[in-house]
Amino acid sequence: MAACLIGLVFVSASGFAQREKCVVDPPELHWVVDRPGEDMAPVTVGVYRNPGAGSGAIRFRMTNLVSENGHVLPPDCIEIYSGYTDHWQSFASRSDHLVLLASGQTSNEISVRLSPSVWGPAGIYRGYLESANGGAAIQLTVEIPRRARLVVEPSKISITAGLGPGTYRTNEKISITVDANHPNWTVSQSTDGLKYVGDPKPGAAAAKLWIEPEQLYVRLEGDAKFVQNLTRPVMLQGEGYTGKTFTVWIECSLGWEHLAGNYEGAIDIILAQK
Amino acid sequence: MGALFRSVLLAGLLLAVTAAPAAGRELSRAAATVRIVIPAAQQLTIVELVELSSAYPWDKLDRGLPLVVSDVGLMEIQSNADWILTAEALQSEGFRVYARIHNSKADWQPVNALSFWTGPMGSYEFSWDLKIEPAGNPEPGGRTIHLVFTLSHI
Repeated sequence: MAACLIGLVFVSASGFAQREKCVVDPPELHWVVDRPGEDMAPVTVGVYRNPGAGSGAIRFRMTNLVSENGHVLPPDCIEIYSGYTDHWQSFASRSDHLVLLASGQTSNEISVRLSPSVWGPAGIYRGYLESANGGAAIQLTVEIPRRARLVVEPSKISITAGLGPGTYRTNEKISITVDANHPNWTVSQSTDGLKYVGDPKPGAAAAKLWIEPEQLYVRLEGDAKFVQNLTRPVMLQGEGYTGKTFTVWIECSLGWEHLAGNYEGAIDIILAQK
Repeated sequence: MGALFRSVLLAGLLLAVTAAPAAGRELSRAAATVRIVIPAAQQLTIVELVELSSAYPWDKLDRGLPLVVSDVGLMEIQSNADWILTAEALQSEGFRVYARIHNSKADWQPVNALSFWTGPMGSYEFSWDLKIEPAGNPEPGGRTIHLVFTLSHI
C-alpha cells in the first residue's frame, strides 16, 4: 500500500515536472478552409524550453481533429517544418512523434500548415498538437464551412411524341449532382411550361400553343413512386455529407389540343441551403 | 363587421404563409432546355359506316329528282394539324354520287378523285348527306354504295 502511494506521488511529480518543460506561442491555431485543395499559408510557432527543465528533445504528436458531428480529420492533415530536416513532415498516425525542440536547444521556430488535401464534412474540427514529454499543447481548430455545388447534365433534352396523344418521356435522363459536404440543402425543379416555337399557320389561333406545367412531370430513377407534377416546384432533399446524384426524366402528357410542331422551354433547377 | 374583416384577413395571411413553399438561400441554379417535337397525328374513326342502300329507279326519278338521304353514317376525326379528307364511292357504277357534311351549309361535292373536305386541328364528329343521280343507264335493282375516306394533314 505504501509502495503504491509512493509510486503515485512519483508519477504525479514527474507528470507535473513534464508539463513545465516547454511552452508554445501561440497556443492556438485556427484555419478556415473555404474549398478543397486550397493552399494555406504556414503559421510560425515558437517552442521555448522552460529554464531548468532539462535539455532532452521535446517531441510532439497529433491527435485526430474531431468535429462536433463526430467526423474526423486524420493526423496527417497537419504538416510541420521543424528546421531539423529539409522537408515538411506529417504525422502518419497518432503514435507518430516529431522532435520540435532538439536536445540542448532552448527554443525553436517551427512552421505549421494544413495539408492542401484537407477537406471533409462541414464542421469545426478540434484537436491538439501535444507533447507528452514537454507538457505543452497547441490547440488546433480547422473550420470547414458548408459548401454545395450543382451540376446538371445534359443542358438540352428532348421528347419525340411520335404516336399522337399520350404520355412521353424525355429521350435523355437528366443527371442532377449536388457536390456537398453537408446534408442541409434542397434542389427544386420548376418550369413555366413550354412554348410553341415559330409562327403557327393562320387559323391555328384556337390551338393550344403552350404545354402547361401541369402537363409536365418529374420522374425519379430508382423510385417508382416518385412522379411529381411540375405545377409546383418539385423538391429533392440532401442526405449525408458527401453529396448526391439524382437521375430524373421529364414526362409530358399531350392531347389532341396541342398543335403539331416544336415546343421549347426550360426546367429551372435551383440549389438552396436549408 | 370590422372584427369579421380582420378575422378573414388574418386567416388569409395565415393561409398564404402556410401555403408558401419553404425556400432557403439560393446557392446555385441551372436549367435544362426541353424541346418537344410533336409530329402531325390524326385519327379517323368510322363509328357507323357511310353507306346508302337503294333501289333503282327510285320514286320521283320520273320527275328528274335525285335520291337524297340525310344524316348517313357517323365518323370522328381527331387531328393535331389542319386536315384534309378525301372520299371514294364504291359500287357506284352508273351513278354520280355527291356528298356534304351533315348540317353544314356547304355545297354538294361530287365524290371523285378531285373532291376533298378540310378543317382545322381539333376533334370533330359528323355524319353525311348523300345525293345520287343516274349517269347513263344503270342496271335497275337494289344496290349499296359505300363511301371510303382517307384522312391526311395539310
